[in-house]
Amino acid sequence: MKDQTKLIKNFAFFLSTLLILTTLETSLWMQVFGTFPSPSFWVPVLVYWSIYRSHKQGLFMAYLMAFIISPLTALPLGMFLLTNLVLFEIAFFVRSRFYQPGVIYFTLVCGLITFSLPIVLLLLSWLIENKPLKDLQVFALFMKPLLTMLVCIPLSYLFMYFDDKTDIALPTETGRQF
Amino acid sequence: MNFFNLDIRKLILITILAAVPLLTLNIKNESGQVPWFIRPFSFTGGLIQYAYSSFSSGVRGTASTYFDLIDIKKQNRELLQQNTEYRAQLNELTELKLENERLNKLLNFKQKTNMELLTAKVIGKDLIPEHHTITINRGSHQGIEEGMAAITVGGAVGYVYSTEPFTSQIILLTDRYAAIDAIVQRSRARGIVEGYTSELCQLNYLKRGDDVQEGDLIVTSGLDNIFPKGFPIGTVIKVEKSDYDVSQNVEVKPIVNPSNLEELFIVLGANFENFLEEESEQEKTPQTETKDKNTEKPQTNNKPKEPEA
Repeated sequence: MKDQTKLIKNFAFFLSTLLILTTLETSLWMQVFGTFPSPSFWVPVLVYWSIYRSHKQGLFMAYLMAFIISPLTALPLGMFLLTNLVLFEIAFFVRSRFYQPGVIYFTLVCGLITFSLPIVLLLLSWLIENKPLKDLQVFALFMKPLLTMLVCIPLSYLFMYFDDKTDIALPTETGRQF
Repeated sequence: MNFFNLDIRKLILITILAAVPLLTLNIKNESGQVPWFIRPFSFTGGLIQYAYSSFSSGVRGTASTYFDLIDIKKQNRELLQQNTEYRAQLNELTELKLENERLNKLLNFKQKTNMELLTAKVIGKDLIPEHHTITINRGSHQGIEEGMAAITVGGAVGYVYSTEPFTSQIILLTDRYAAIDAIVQRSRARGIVEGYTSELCQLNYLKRGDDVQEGDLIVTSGLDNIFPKGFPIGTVIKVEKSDYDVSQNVEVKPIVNPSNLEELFIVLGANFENFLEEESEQEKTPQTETKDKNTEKPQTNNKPKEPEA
Protein backbone atom coordinates (compact mmCIF):
# COMPACT_ATOMS: atom_id res chain seq x y z
CA MET A 1 0.00 0.00 0.00
CA LYS A 2 2.83 2.30 0.90
CA ASP A 3 4.62 1.46 -2.34
CA GLN A 4 1.48 2.13 -4.33
CA THR A 5 1.09 5.54 -2.72
CA LYS A 6 4.68 6.35 -3.62
CA LEU A 7 4.12 5.21 -7.18
CA ILE A 8 0.98 7.32 -7.46
CA LYS A 9 2.90 10.27 -6.02
CA ASN A 10 5.61 9.67 -8.59
CA PHE A 11 3.05 9.63 -11.39
CA ALA A 12 1.50 12.81 -10.05
CA PHE A 13 4.88 14.52 -9.87
CA PHE A 14 5.67 13.67 -13.46
CA LEU A 15 2.25 14.52 -14.82
CA SER A 16 2.12 17.90 -13.11
CA THR A 17 5.65 18.65 -14.36
CA LEU A 18 4.55 17.58 -17.83
CA LEU A 19 1.62 19.97 -17.76
CA ILE A 20 3.78 22.85 -16.53
CA LEU A 21 6.44 22.17 -19.16
CA THR A 22 4.07 21.80 -22.11
CA THR A 23 2.11 24.95 -21.27
CA LEU A 24 5.43 26.75 -20.94
CA GLU A 25 6.35 25.47 -24.40
CA THR A 26 3.10 26.54 -26.04
CA SER A 27 2.59 29.85 -24.29
CA LEU A 28 5.55 31.40 -22.52
CA TRP A 29 8.10 30.36 -25.13
CA MET A 30 6.03 31.96 -27.89
CA GLN A 31 5.68 35.20 -25.96
CA VAL A 32 9.41 35.40 -25.29
CA PHE A 33 10.99 33.91 -28.40
CA GLY A 34 8.21 34.34 -30.95
CA THR A 35 8.20 31.78 -33.72
CA PHE A 36 11.67 30.42 -32.95
CA PRO A 37 11.42 26.63 -32.49
CA SER A 38 10.95 25.56 -28.91
CA PRO A 39 12.35 22.48 -27.22
CA SER A 40 9.89 19.58 -27.03
CA PHE A 41 9.46 19.70 -23.28
CA TRP A 42 7.24 16.63 -23.14
CA VAL A 43 9.75 14.33 -24.85
CA PRO A 44 12.10 14.08 -21.81
CA VAL A 45 9.19 12.80 -19.70
CA LEU A 46 8.33 10.16 -22.28
CA VAL A 47 11.95 9.13 -22.70
CA TYR A 48 12.54 9.02 -18.95
CA TRP A 49 9.63 6.68 -18.49
CA SER A 50 10.64 4.50 -21.39
CA ILE A 51 14.24 4.02 -20.31
CA TYR A 52 13.97 4.06 -16.54
CA ARG A 53 10.69 2.22 -15.97
CA SER A 54 9.15 -1.12 -16.77
CA HIS A 55 7.41 -1.49 -20.12
CA LYS A 56 4.01 -1.65 -18.44
CA GLN A 57 4.51 1.48 -16.38
CA GLY A 58 6.01 3.37 -19.30
CA LEU A 59 3.16 2.42 -21.58
CA PHE A 60 0.64 3.56 -19.02
CA MET A 61 2.48 6.87 -18.73
CA ALA A 62 2.56 7.25 -22.53
CA TYR A 63 -1.24 6.89 -22.61
CA LEU A 64 -1.73 9.32 -19.75
CA MET A 65 0.60 11.83 -21.38
CA ALA A 66 -1.36 11.71 -24.62
CA PHE A 67 -4.61 12.40 -22.78
CA ILE A 68 -3.13 15.27 -20.84
CA ILE A 69 -1.34 17.15 -23.58
CA SER A 70 -3.48 16.41 -26.64
CA PRO A 71 -5.73 19.44 -25.90
CA LEU A 72 -2.73 21.62 -26.64
CA THR A 73 -2.61 20.57 -30.27
CA ALA A 74 -4.92 20.23 -33.25
CA LEU A 75 -3.54 16.75 -33.85
CA PRO A 76 -6.38 14.27 -33.20
CA LEU A 77 -6.10 12.26 -30.01
CA GLY A 78 -5.76 8.98 -31.91
CA MET A 79 -2.88 10.25 -34.00
CA PHE A 80 -1.20 11.78 -30.99
CA LEU A 81 -1.57 8.59 -29.02
CA LEU A 82 -0.18 6.52 -31.86
CA THR A 83 2.76 8.88 -32.36
CA ASN A 84 3.45 8.83 -28.64
CA LEU A 85 3.39 5.04 -28.54
CA VAL A 86 5.68 4.70 -31.55
CA LEU A 87 8.16 7.12 -29.98
CA PHE A 88 7.91 5.27 -26.67
CA GLU A 89 8.65 1.97 -28.41
CA ILE A 90 11.62 3.47 -30.28
CA ALA A 91 13.10 4.67 -26.99
CA PHE A 92 12.35 1.31 -25.37
CA PHE A 93 14.02 -0.49 -28.27
CA VAL A 94 17.13 1.68 -27.93
CA ARG A 95 17.20 0.96 -24.21
CA SER A 96 16.92 -2.78 -24.74
CA ARG A 97 19.82 -2.73 -27.22
CA PHE A 98 22.09 -0.27 -25.52
CA TYR A 99 21.84 1.09 -22.03
CA GLN A 100 24.09 3.27 -19.94
CA PRO A 101 23.19 4.99 -16.71
CA GLY A 102 23.75 8.71 -16.63
CA VAL A 103 22.62 12.04 -17.96
CA ILE A 104 24.49 11.86 -21.28
CA TYR A 105 22.70 8.70 -22.36
CA PHE A 106 19.34 10.18 -21.38
CA THR A 107 20.14 13.40 -23.28
CA LEU A 108 21.16 11.51 -26.42
CA VAL A 109 18.00 9.39 -26.43
CA CYS A 110 15.92 12.56 -25.96
CA GLY A 111 17.65 14.13 -28.96
CA LEU A 112 16.99 11.04 -31.05
CA ILE A 113 13.30 10.89 -30.09
CA THR A 114 12.79 14.61 -30.71
CA PHE A 115 14.37 14.24 -34.14
CA SER A 116 12.19 11.19 -34.85
CA LEU A 117 8.96 12.93 -33.82
CA PRO A 118 8.20 14.89 -37.03
CA ILE A 119 9.37 11.97 -39.18
CA VAL A 120 7.12 9.52 -37.34
CA LEU A 121 4.30 12.02 -37.57
CA LEU A 122 4.81 12.45 -41.30
CA LEU A 123 4.93 8.69 -41.93
CA LEU A 124 1.84 8.01 -39.82
CA SER A 125 0.03 10.88 -41.49
CA TRP A 126 0.82 9.44 -44.93
CA LEU A 127 -0.27 5.98 -43.84
CA ILE A 128 -3.46 6.86 -42.02
CA GLU A 129 -4.83 10.26 -42.92
CA ASN A 130 -6.82 11.22 -45.98
CA LYS A 131 -5.16 14.58 -46.06
CA PRO A 132 -1.60 13.92 -44.98
CA LEU A 133 1.10 16.36 -43.92
CA LYS A 134 2.70 18.09 -46.87
CA ASP A 135 5.85 19.58 -45.46
CA LEU A 136 8.37 19.30 -42.67
CA GLN A 137 9.81 22.37 -41.06
CA VAL A 138 13.47 21.69 -41.74
CA PHE A 139 14.91 24.32 -39.41
CA ALA A 140 12.73 23.09 -36.54
CA LEU A 141 13.62 19.48 -37.40
CA PHE A 142 17.26 20.13 -36.49
CA MET A 143 16.87 22.91 -33.95
CA LYS A 144 14.31 21.22 -31.72
CA PRO A 145 16.47 18.16 -30.86
CA LEU A 146 19.38 20.42 -29.96
CA LEU A 147 17.25 22.59 -27.71
CA THR A 148 15.55 19.56 -26.18
CA MET A 149 18.93 18.03 -25.41
CA LEU A 150 19.89 21.24 -23.65
CA VAL A 151 16.83 21.26 -21.42
CA CYS A 152 17.21 17.53 -20.79
CA ILE A 153 20.19 18.06 -18.54
CA PRO A 154 18.46 20.05 -15.78
CA LEU A 155 15.28 18.06 -16.27
CA SER A 156 17.05 14.75 -15.72
CA TYR A 157 18.24 15.98 -12.31
CA LEU A 158 14.73 17.12 -11.48
CA PHE A 159 13.32 13.72 -12.48
CA MET A 160 15.96 11.92 -10.44
CA TYR A 161 15.05 14.12 -7.52
CA PHE A 162 11.40 13.05 -7.90
CA ASP A 163 12.46 9.42 -7.97
CA ASP A 164 14.66 9.91 -4.96
CA LYS A 165 11.80 11.49 -3.01
CA THR A 166 9.45 8.63 -3.88
CA ASP A 167 12.06 5.93 -3.30
CA ILE A 168 12.23 4.70 -6.87
CA ALA A 169 15.66 3.35 -7.68
CA LEU A 170 17.05 3.93 -11.16
CA PRO A 171 18.28 0.85 -13.00
CA THR A 172 21.99 0.27 -13.22
CA GLU A 173 23.95 -1.14 -16.13
CA THR A 174 24.69 -4.42 -14.35
CA GLY A 175 21.70 -4.99 -12.18
CA ARG A 176 18.67 -3.79 -14.08
CA GLN A 177 15.49 -3.47 -12.16
CA PHE A 178 12.93 -3.43 -14.90
CA MET B 1 114.76 90.56 4.35
CA ASN B 2 111.08 90.01 4.52
CA PHE B 3 109.79 92.08 7.45
CA PHE B 4 106.34 90.50 7.76
CA ASN B 5 107.54 87.15 6.62
CA LEU B 6 105.06 87.12 3.72
CA ASP B 7 105.00 84.91 0.68
CA ILE B 8 104.73 87.43 -2.11
CA ARG B 9 103.35 84.96 -4.65
CA LYS B 10 100.58 83.90 -2.30
CA LEU B 11 99.74 87.49 -1.60
CA ILE B 12 99.47 88.31 -5.29
CA LEU B 13 97.18 85.29 -5.87
CA ILE B 14 94.91 86.25 -2.94
CA THR B 15 94.74 89.80 -4.21
CA ILE B 16 93.78 88.69 -7.70
CA LEU B 17 91.14 86.31 -6.38
CA ALA B 18 89.71 89.03 -4.17
CA ALA B 19 89.77 91.51 -7.00
CA VAL B 20 87.77 89.36 -9.45
CA PRO B 21 84.40 89.71 -7.65
CA LEU B 22 85.03 93.40 -7.18
CA LEU B 23 85.83 93.74 -10.83
CA THR B 24 82.70 91.78 -11.70
CA LEU B 25 80.58 94.06 -9.57
CA ASN B 26 81.83 97.01 -11.45
CA ILE B 27 81.15 95.64 -14.93
CA LYS B 28 78.18 97.32 -16.52
CA ASN B 29 75.36 94.78 -16.98
CA GLU B 30 73.46 95.81 -20.06
CA SER B 31 69.90 94.55 -20.12
CA GLY B 32 69.18 91.58 -22.41
CA GLN B 33 72.82 90.77 -22.80
CA VAL B 34 74.31 87.71 -21.22
CA PRO B 35 78.04 87.91 -20.77
CA TRP B 36 79.98 85.54 -22.94
CA PHE B 37 81.39 83.61 -20.02
CA ILE B 38 77.99 83.03 -18.53
CA ARG B 39 76.47 81.73 -21.70
CA PRO B 40 77.72 78.14 -21.50
CA PHE B 41 76.34 77.87 -17.97
CA SER B 42 73.02 79.44 -18.82
CA PHE B 43 72.77 77.25 -21.90
CA THR B 44 73.49 74.13 -19.89
CA GLY B 45 71.13 75.25 -17.11
CA GLY B 46 68.41 75.96 -19.65
CA LEU B 47 68.84 72.53 -21.16
CA ILE B 48 68.58 70.85 -17.79
CA GLN B 49 65.54 72.96 -16.90
CA TYR B 50 63.95 72.02 -20.18
CA ALA B 51 64.62 68.37 -19.50
CA TYR B 52 63.16 68.69 -16.01
CA SER B 53 60.14 70.48 -17.37
CA SER B 54 59.61 67.86 -20.09
CA PHE B 55 59.92 65.10 -17.55
CA SER B 56 57.58 66.83 -15.15
CA SER B 57 54.97 67.60 -17.80
CA GLY B 58 55.27 64.03 -19.09
CA VAL B 59 54.64 62.65 -15.63
CA ARG B 60 51.80 65.10 -15.05
CA GLY B 61 50.33 64.27 -18.47
CA THR B 62 50.48 60.54 -17.85
CA ALA B 63 49.03 60.92 -14.39
CA SER B 64 46.23 63.18 -15.60
CA THR B 65 45.53 60.82 -18.52
CA TYR B 66 45.28 57.98 -16.05
CA PHE B 67 42.98 59.98 -13.78
CA ASP B 68 41.00 61.10 -16.84
CA LEU B 69 40.73 57.48 -17.95
CA ILE B 70 39.31 56.54 -14.61
CA ASP B 71 36.83 59.37 -14.99
CA ILE B 72 36.07 58.47 -18.59
CA LYS B 73 35.51 54.87 -17.63
CA LYS B 74 33.14 55.95 -14.91
CA GLN B 75 31.38 58.38 -17.24
CA ASN B 76 31.24 55.73 -19.95
CA ARG B 77 29.65 53.28 -17.57
CA GLU B 78 27.09 55.86 -16.52
CA LEU B 79 26.38 56.85 -20.12
CA LEU B 80 26.06 53.22 -21.16
CA GLN B 81 23.61 52.64 -18.35
CA GLN B 82 21.66 55.72 -19.37
CA ASN B 83 21.77 54.61 -22.98
CA THR B 84 20.44 51.18 -22.05
CA GLU B 85 17.68 52.76 -20.01
CA TYR B 86 16.77 55.13 -22.86
CA ARG B 87 16.83 52.28 -25.33
CA ALA B 88 14.58 50.19 -23.13
CA GLN B 89 12.24 53.18 -22.81
CA LEU B 90 12.36 53.73 -26.55
CA ASN B 91 11.61 50.08 -27.22
CA GLU B 92 8.77 50.21 -24.76
CA LEU B 93 7.41 53.37 -26.38
CA THR B 94 7.77 51.91 -29.87
CA GLU B 95 5.99 48.78 -28.71
CA LEU B 96 3.25 50.88 -27.13
CA LYS B 97 2.97 52.98 -30.28
CA LEU B 98 2.63 49.88 -32.44
CA GLU B 99 0.13 48.36 -30.03
CA ASN B 100 -1.77 51.62 -30.02
CA GLU B 101 -1.86 51.69 -33.82
CA ARG B 102 -3.01 48.09 -33.97
CA LEU B 103 -5.68 48.61 -31.34
CA ASN B 104 -6.81 51.83 -33.04
CA LYS B 105 -7.24 49.93 -36.29
CA LEU B 106 -9.18 47.21 -34.50
CA LEU B 107 -11.33 49.79 -32.74
CA ASN B 108 -12.06 51.68 -35.95
CA PHE B 109 -12.96 48.45 -37.67
CA LYS B 110 -15.17 47.37 -34.78
CA GLN B 111 -16.98 50.70 -34.70
CA LYS B 112 -17.65 50.78 -38.43
CA THR B 113 -18.85 47.23 -38.92
CA ASN B 114 -22.26 45.68 -38.34
CA MET B 115 -20.74 42.49 -37.06
CA GLU B 116 -20.75 41.57 -33.42
CA LEU B 117 -17.07 41.21 -32.65
CA LEU B 118 -15.07 40.16 -29.63
CA THR B 119 -11.43 41.21 -29.33
CA ALA B 120 -9.01 38.52 -28.23
CA LYS B 121 -5.30 38.27 -27.61
CA VAL B 122 -3.10 35.41 -28.82
CA ILE B 123 -1.57 33.65 -25.82
CA GLY B 124 -0.29 30.36 -27.19
CA LYS B 125 0.53 28.17 -30.15
CA ASP B 126 0.25 24.51 -31.08
CA LEU B 127 2.40 21.92 -29.34
CA ILE B 128 3.26 20.25 -32.66
CA PRO B 129 4.90 22.69 -35.10
CA GLU B 130 3.39 20.87 -38.09
CA HIS B 131 -0.04 21.99 -36.93
CA HIS B 132 -1.13 25.59 -37.09
CA THR B 133 -3.39 26.55 -34.26
CA ILE B 134 -3.25 29.40 -31.79
CA THR B 135 -4.77 29.84 -28.36
CA ILE B 136 -6.62 33.02 -27.44
CA ASN B 137 -7.50 34.50 -24.07
CA ARG B 138 -11.29 34.28 -24.56
CA GLY B 139 -13.49 31.27 -24.08
CA SER B 140 -17.02 30.04 -23.65
CA HIS B 141 -17.51 32.43 -20.69
CA GLN B 142 -17.23 35.31 -23.14
CA GLY B 143 -19.68 33.71 -25.53
CA ILE B 144 -17.29 31.97 -27.89
CA GLU B 145 -18.55 28.80 -29.55
CA GLU B 146 -16.91 26.25 -31.77
CA GLY B 147 -16.94 27.17 -35.45
CA MET B 148 -17.01 30.94 -34.94
CA ALA B 149 -14.88 32.92 -37.36
CA ALA B 150 -11.58 34.52 -36.39
CA ILE B 151 -10.59 37.59 -38.39
CA THR B 152 -8.30 40.58 -38.27
CA VAL B 153 -8.65 43.95 -39.92
CA GLY B 154 -6.72 42.65 -42.93
CA GLY B 155 -8.48 39.37 -43.56
CA ALA B 156 -9.70 36.00 -42.34
CA VAL B 157 -7.47 34.10 -39.92
CA GLY B 158 -9.32 30.85 -39.22
CA TYR B 159 -12.08 29.66 -36.97
CA VAL B 160 -12.67 28.45 -33.43
CA TYR B 161 -11.70 24.83 -33.13
CA SER B 162 -12.29 24.15 -29.45
CA THR B 163 -13.35 26.21 -26.47
CA GLU B 164 -12.60 26.15 -22.79
CA PRO B 165 -14.19 28.45 -20.21
CA PHE B 166 -11.43 31.08 -20.50
CA THR B 167 -9.44 30.10 -23.58
CA SER B 168 -10.15 28.93 -27.11
CA GLN B 169 -8.14 27.30 -29.85
CA ILE B 170 -8.23 28.81 -33.32
CA ILE B 171 -7.39 26.64 -36.28
CA LEU B 172 -5.55 28.78 -38.83
CA LEU B 173 -6.25 28.76 -42.54
CA THR B 174 -2.91 27.13 -43.23
CA ASP B 175 -3.62 24.07 -41.07
CA ARG B 176 -4.38 21.01 -43.14
CA TYR B 177 -7.59 20.37 -41.21
CA ALA B 178 -8.94 23.89 -41.88
CA ALA B 179 -11.60 24.44 -44.57
CA ILE B 180 -13.46 27.65 -45.40
CA ASP B 181 -16.05 28.22 -48.09
CA ALA B 182 -14.73 30.85 -50.49
CA ILE B 183 -15.27 32.58 -53.80
CA VAL B 184 -13.01 34.24 -56.32
CA GLN B 185 -13.79 37.93 -55.96
CA ARG B 186 -13.48 38.76 -59.66
CA SER B 187 -15.40 35.87 -61.23
CA ARG B 188 -17.45 34.65 -58.23
CA ALA B 189 -16.22 31.08 -58.86
CA ARG B 190 -16.80 29.04 -55.73
CA GLY B 191 -14.55 26.58 -53.92
CA ILE B 192 -13.20 25.54 -50.54
CA VAL B 193 -10.00 26.99 -49.14
CA GLU B 194 -8.05 24.30 -47.30
CA GLY B 195 -4.72 24.39 -45.50
CA TYR B 196 -1.84 23.07 -47.57
CA THR B 197 1.61 23.91 -46.20
CA SER B 198 2.76 26.15 -43.36
CA GLU B 199 2.48 29.20 -45.61
CA LEU B 200 -0.03 28.27 -48.29
CA CYS B 201 -3.63 27.19 -48.77
CA GLN B 202 -5.35 25.49 -51.67
CA LEU B 203 -8.60 26.48 -53.30
CA ASN B 204 -10.22 23.12 -53.96
CA TYR B 205 -13.39 21.86 -55.64
CA LEU B 206 -13.35 24.52 -58.34
CA LYS B 207 -14.79 23.41 -61.66
CA ARG B 208 -12.38 22.95 -64.50
CA GLY B 209 -13.96 25.77 -66.47
CA ASP B 210 -14.11 28.25 -63.60
CA ASP B 211 -12.38 31.54 -64.24
CA VAL B 212 -9.44 31.95 -61.86
CA GLN B 213 -6.14 33.65 -62.52
CA GLU B 214 -2.95 34.39 -60.66
CA GLY B 215 -3.35 37.51 -58.54
CA ASP B 216 -7.11 37.02 -58.02
CA LEU B 217 -8.38 37.83 -54.55
CA ILE B 218 -10.11 34.97 -52.77
CA VAL B 219 -12.81 36.09 -50.35
CA THR B 220 -15.19 34.41 -47.95
CA SER B 221 -18.53 33.34 -49.39
CA GLY B 222 -20.45 34.28 -46.24
CA LEU B 223 -22.45 31.05 -46.27
CA ASP B 224 -23.97 30.09 -42.91
CA ASN B 225 -23.33 33.63 -41.70
CA ILE B 226 -20.17 32.55 -39.90
CA PHE B 227 -17.77 34.70 -41.87
CA PRO B 228 -18.87 38.04 -43.34
CA LYS B 229 -19.37 37.84 -47.08
CA GLY B 230 -16.52 39.08 -49.27
CA PHE B 231 -13.92 39.24 -46.53
CA PRO B 232 -10.41 38.66 -47.94
CA ILE B 233 -8.71 35.30 -47.42
CA GLY B 234 -5.75 35.39 -49.74
CA THR B 235 -4.42 35.90 -53.24
CA VAL B 236 -3.98 33.27 -55.93
CA ILE B 237 -0.30 32.64 -56.62
CA LYS B 238 -0.48 29.55 -58.83
CA VAL B 239 -3.09 27.97 -61.10
CA GLU B 240 -2.55 24.55 -62.62
CA LYS B 241 -4.87 22.55 -64.88
CA SER B 242 -3.91 18.98 -65.61
CA ASP B 243 -5.18 17.32 -68.80
CA TYR B 244 -7.36 14.72 -67.10
CA ASP B 245 -8.44 16.38 -63.89
CA VAL B 246 -11.98 17.66 -63.47
CA SER B 247 -10.81 20.39 -61.14
CA GLN B 248 -8.01 22.91 -60.99
CA ASN B 249 -5.05 23.13 -58.66
CA VAL B 250 -5.07 26.63 -57.19
CA GLU B 251 -2.59 27.75 -54.55
CA VAL B 252 -3.53 30.67 -52.34
CA LYS B 253 -1.28 32.78 -50.14
CA PRO B 254 -3.19 33.99 -47.07
CA ILE B 255 -3.35 37.75 -46.61
CA VAL B 256 -2.83 37.53 -42.86
CA ASN B 257 0.50 36.18 -41.67
CA PRO B 258 -0.38 34.16 -38.55
CA SER B 259 3.14 34.34 -37.14
CA ASN B 260 2.77 38.12 -36.63
CA LEU B 261 -0.67 37.86 -35.10
CA GLU B 262 -1.13 39.37 -31.64
CA GLU B 263 -4.76 40.42 -31.49
CA LEU B 264 -7.75 39.26 -33.48
CA PHE B 265 -11.53 39.38 -33.58
CA ILE B 266 -13.92 36.55 -32.99
CA VAL B 267 -17.08 37.05 -35.01
CA LEU B 268 -19.86 36.39 -32.52
CA GLY B 269 -22.42 37.37 -35.16
CA ALA B 270 -21.66 38.21 -38.77
CA ASN B 271 -25.09 39.90 -39.15
CA PHE B 272 -24.96 39.22 -42.88
CA GLU B 273 -22.24 41.79 -43.35
CA ASN B 274 -21.34 41.98 -47.03
CA PHE B 275 -18.03 43.47 -48.10
CA LEU B 276 -18.68 42.63 -51.75
CA GLU B 277 -21.62 45.04 -51.90
CA GLU B 278 -19.53 47.78 -50.35
CA GLU B 279 -16.90 47.33 -52.99
CA SER B 280 -19.39 47.50 -55.82
CA GLU B 281 -20.87 50.66 -54.24
CA GLN B 282 -17.43 52.17 -54.01
CA GLU B 283 -16.81 51.32 -57.65
CA LYS B 284 -20.04 53.08 -58.63
CA THR B 285 -19.24 56.22 -56.60
CA PRO B 286 -15.50 56.74 -56.81
CA GLN B 287 -14.17 58.82 -53.96
CA THR B 288 -11.28 61.21 -54.01
CA GLU B 289 -9.96 59.82 -50.79
CA THR B 290 -8.40 56.41 -51.24
CA LYS B 291 -9.56 53.97 -48.63
CA ASP B 292 -8.41 50.55 -47.73
CA LYS B 293 -11.30 48.50 -49.01
CA ASN B 294 -10.75 45.74 -46.50
CA THR B 295 -10.43 47.82 -43.40
CA GLU B 296 -12.67 50.83 -43.92
CA LYS B 297 -16.38 50.60 -44.14
CA PRO B 298 -18.68 53.29 -45.52
CA GLN B 299 -20.61 55.08 -42.78
CA THR B 300 -23.89 54.95 -44.70
CA ASN B 301 -24.13 51.20 -44.60
CA ASN B 302 -24.98 50.62 -40.97
CA LYS B 303 -28.11 48.53 -41.07
CA PRO B 304 -27.91 44.76 -40.92
CA LYS B 305 -28.60 43.29 -44.30
CA GLU B 306 -31.18 40.72 -45.15
CA PRO B 307 -29.93 37.18 -45.67
CA GLU B 308 -29.21 36.49 -49.28
CA ALA B 309 -30.97 33.80 -51.18
